[in-house]
Amino acid sequence: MKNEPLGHKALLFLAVNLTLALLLHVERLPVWVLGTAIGVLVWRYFIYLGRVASPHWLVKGLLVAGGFIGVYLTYGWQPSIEAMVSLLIVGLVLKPLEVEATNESYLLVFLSYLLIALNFLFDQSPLGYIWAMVLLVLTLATQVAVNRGSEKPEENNLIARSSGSVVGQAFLIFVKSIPLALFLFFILPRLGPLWSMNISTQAGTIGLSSSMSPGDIAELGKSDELAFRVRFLNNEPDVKQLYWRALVLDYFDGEQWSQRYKPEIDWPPFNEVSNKDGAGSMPFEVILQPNDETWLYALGVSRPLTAGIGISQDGRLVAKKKLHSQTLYKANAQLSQTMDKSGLTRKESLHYLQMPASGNLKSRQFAQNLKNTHKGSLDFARALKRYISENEFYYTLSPGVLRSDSTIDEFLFETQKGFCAHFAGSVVYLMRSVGIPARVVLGYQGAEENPVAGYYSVYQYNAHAWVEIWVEGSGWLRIDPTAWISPERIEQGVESALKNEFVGFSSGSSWLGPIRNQINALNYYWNDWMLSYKGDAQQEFISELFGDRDQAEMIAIYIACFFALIGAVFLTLLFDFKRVKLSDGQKLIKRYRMALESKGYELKDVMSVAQISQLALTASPHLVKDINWIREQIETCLYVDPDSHFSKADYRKIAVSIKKLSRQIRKAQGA
Amino acid sequence: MKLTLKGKFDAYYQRWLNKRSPTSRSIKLTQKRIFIIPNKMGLLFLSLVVLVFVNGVNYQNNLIFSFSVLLLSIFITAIVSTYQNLSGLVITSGHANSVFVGKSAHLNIGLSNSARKNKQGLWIGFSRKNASAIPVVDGVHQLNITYKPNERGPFKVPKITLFSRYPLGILTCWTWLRLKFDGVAYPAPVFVPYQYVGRSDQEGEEADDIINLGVDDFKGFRKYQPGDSLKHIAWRQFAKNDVLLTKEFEEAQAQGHWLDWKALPGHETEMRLQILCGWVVRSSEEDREFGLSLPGLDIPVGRGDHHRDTCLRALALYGISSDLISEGA
Repeated sequence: MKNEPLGHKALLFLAVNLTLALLLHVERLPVWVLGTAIGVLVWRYFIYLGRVASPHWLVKGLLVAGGFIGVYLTYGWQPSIEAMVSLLIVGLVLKPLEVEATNESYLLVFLSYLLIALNFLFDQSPLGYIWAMVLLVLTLATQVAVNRGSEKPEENNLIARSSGSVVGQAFLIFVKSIPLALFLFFILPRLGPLWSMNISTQAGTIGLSSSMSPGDIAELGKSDELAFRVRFLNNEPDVKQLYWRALVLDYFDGEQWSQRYKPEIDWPPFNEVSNKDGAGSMPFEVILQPNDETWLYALGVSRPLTAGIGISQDGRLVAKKKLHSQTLYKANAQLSQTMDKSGLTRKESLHYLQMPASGNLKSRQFAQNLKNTHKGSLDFARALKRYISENEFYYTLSPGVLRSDSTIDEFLFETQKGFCAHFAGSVVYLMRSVGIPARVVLGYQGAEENPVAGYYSVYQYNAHAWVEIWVEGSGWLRIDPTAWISPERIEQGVESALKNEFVGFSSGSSWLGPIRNQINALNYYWNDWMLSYKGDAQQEFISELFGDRDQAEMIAIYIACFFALIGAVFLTLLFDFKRVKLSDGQKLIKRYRMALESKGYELKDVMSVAQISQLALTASPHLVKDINWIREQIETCLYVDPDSHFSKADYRKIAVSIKKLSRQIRKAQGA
Repeated sequence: MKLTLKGKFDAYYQRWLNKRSPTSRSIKLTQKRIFIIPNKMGLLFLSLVVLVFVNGVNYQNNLIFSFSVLLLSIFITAIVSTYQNLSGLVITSGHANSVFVGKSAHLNIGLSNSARKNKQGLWIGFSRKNASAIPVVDGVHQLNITYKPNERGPFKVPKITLFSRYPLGILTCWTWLRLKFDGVAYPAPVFVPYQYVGRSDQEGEEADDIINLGVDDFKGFRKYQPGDSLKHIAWRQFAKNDVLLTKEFEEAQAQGHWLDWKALPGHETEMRLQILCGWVVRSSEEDREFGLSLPGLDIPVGRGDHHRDTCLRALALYGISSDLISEGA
């Protein structure tokens, strides 16, 4: 078997397959790659038609070199998944120019598999997975077509007929492979990364940003992308109290709030983690969308219940590595506790009282005046609340840009329109200017319940900024200045607070709500099961399935299951025989013969009905009437009209009379 | 040293193979005879599986992991399907036409498939490189493969390989067939002028006479008898009267036209056989009556295609096997 040229069917399959594999990645491909892909496919088509000659090797070489340079120019040396995919696609796209024979087209097929697999880095939705499976079957079909490619259809029209079932064959292979794949998926232990991967996607996922200058979060407020899902393991929470802490900002440069103070992070060892279930605790489980950062979401004072998660001095939960894929973790929240009750260190007070040396004089003056009448920290906060709620402050997502050098003055005394970041920033500034340690906390507020699956979703539009002040004897206290002006904003979520500005995605619409909940529930189960099935979840599932067993037993069970599965597949080989379909007449003859043979008559294989009847007659002449009737019936069926079928009743009648005959013979023999 | 080791291994492998697949007329493919191994593309596929797996592990991406596992079990399914495609096939050796050494014979091979599934993408040949495709086998299929014997005697057909890469092309599944065929390789004819040697009573007398072999004079018609050469049938008469007649010719040396081993004293055995073979061919082309005399075997004078085949068979099997000579008769 030589490296044969491809038939047109295989080429067609290849072309469709390549196009679909490319479409998977179309959003993250630079335009020039797409252009090249289309160009090459058209070119290849003309080569196939015979209008254009196959390109010279020099041309191909130049194209490949050009492709690599193009990828370098687009992405630089910074390795990223997109660059890798682009490089693969450049190879994939230029390969068809060369493909004339079977072996090279296998390469294309394998590259398609790889592209399908890599797409899961970007798309992990259940719908995406189904589509990937469809593509997998198609790629398998292409592989079957390529394998058959060298056969000439004109040699035998049987081939032409059977090649219609290429897709069917591929589907069969796919279906047969599923049980073993499922088994391996559930049983195989997951390894940790073999080497560290710092490759991140360049597109950058929308999420909180690590700094805050008012105007930032306006974008977020309108994004309905999912941030994370959460399930509460014991008691249902009060949605109003869900302040998901992600970041703590301590440094203000006059325009921007950012994180300068990096407090120590405590990494609780795994064995200490799980048994701290005090009263009033609220364990929860988060499935987090990849945010390409290390931050996780904490509630109140949280302790992690999953290994590998650290807790910082300022109450944040952090992961060891940047989160590029969906992650599941558990933590235990204590809503009633406060941090740093005992007092702040000198370093901490310095950070939490930091202010720019100049600017915002009006605000400082205002704070000082207020402080003179309200001495205590809490008193001061209450006075501030009264001031903001009694004056004309508005909550809006499009407050306009603050242009002056003193943005806080401008906001507090001129525009008076803003969103959480404006209010939080200004309040922290005012607090600090009178010597109250304060910090901005960024995160999400609220959650949307999905009653179908019993979990809560937190979307990007739940992003929020609030304030913590440190009060002697009480520790850090949360105040949410945004709640001071617009209570609905906190009570019913951002949608109802901003009805005028939100049109895009109202989940409140009466008939859309349940459907949306169903789809979200499906997504949740998918995430909870498919994406998070590793580590603890896997252990739990396996011990639920097989009970608690020691390692040796477990291994024995695995091996047994593995071989049982493979054995089951091989068992199908045993049943691969043609079943000959007998006509009614043939079936009756068989019965007739069996009836006689069991009574000790010796029948030859080639005997006709007449001969058999003759034999029966010589042995039991007194049954002549029955024998003749049976013979007549069978012969009519067999010879007069071979296509005729007995009605069920007739067939039964003959079968019964054969039985009767056999009984009578036995009686005669016994006598 | 290396070479001898390899030689030893090859010999061992051949012995093992012979034991596993002995020569026979009909072979049913079972797990004893079927070999299966991933080919180059298969190894590439496996490295693809590893690559996807590493991606899944490094990005901690369960979906990529599941995809790699799925690809792996597709590979295992492919092993079963590829094996299944060959197993249960019954291969029977059929007719083989006898030819002269160096000429091509057609070996007829029957494939019969009793399984529910069609057998697809099969290739057959003496080696992988010179194999030809077999169309889909559903039920019974007949095919011919060409064989060039290079030694006189019964066909010693080398092992034939039947292989398939169906359905995914990543595994090669093959078997070695050692089929027995009835064909006989006649000695390659060498044409030298005919030398007449009288029968034992006149031995030596006319040993050097060279007899002209020419077209004889037409004598008349007689009724056709089976075995008469087709060349001498009076087709014109047949067209007219619908009666088969054979033209008869006057034969100058009709009696005692013996092709005799003893006429070629100075030659080696094989050469003698080849020359005798040439004479048989020539005589039969010219439709003479002739007999063949070999040490220990005399074939009486006769004529016709059947007689010719008997003589050629005797020449082919001379000194190899005497009981086979009559088999063709």
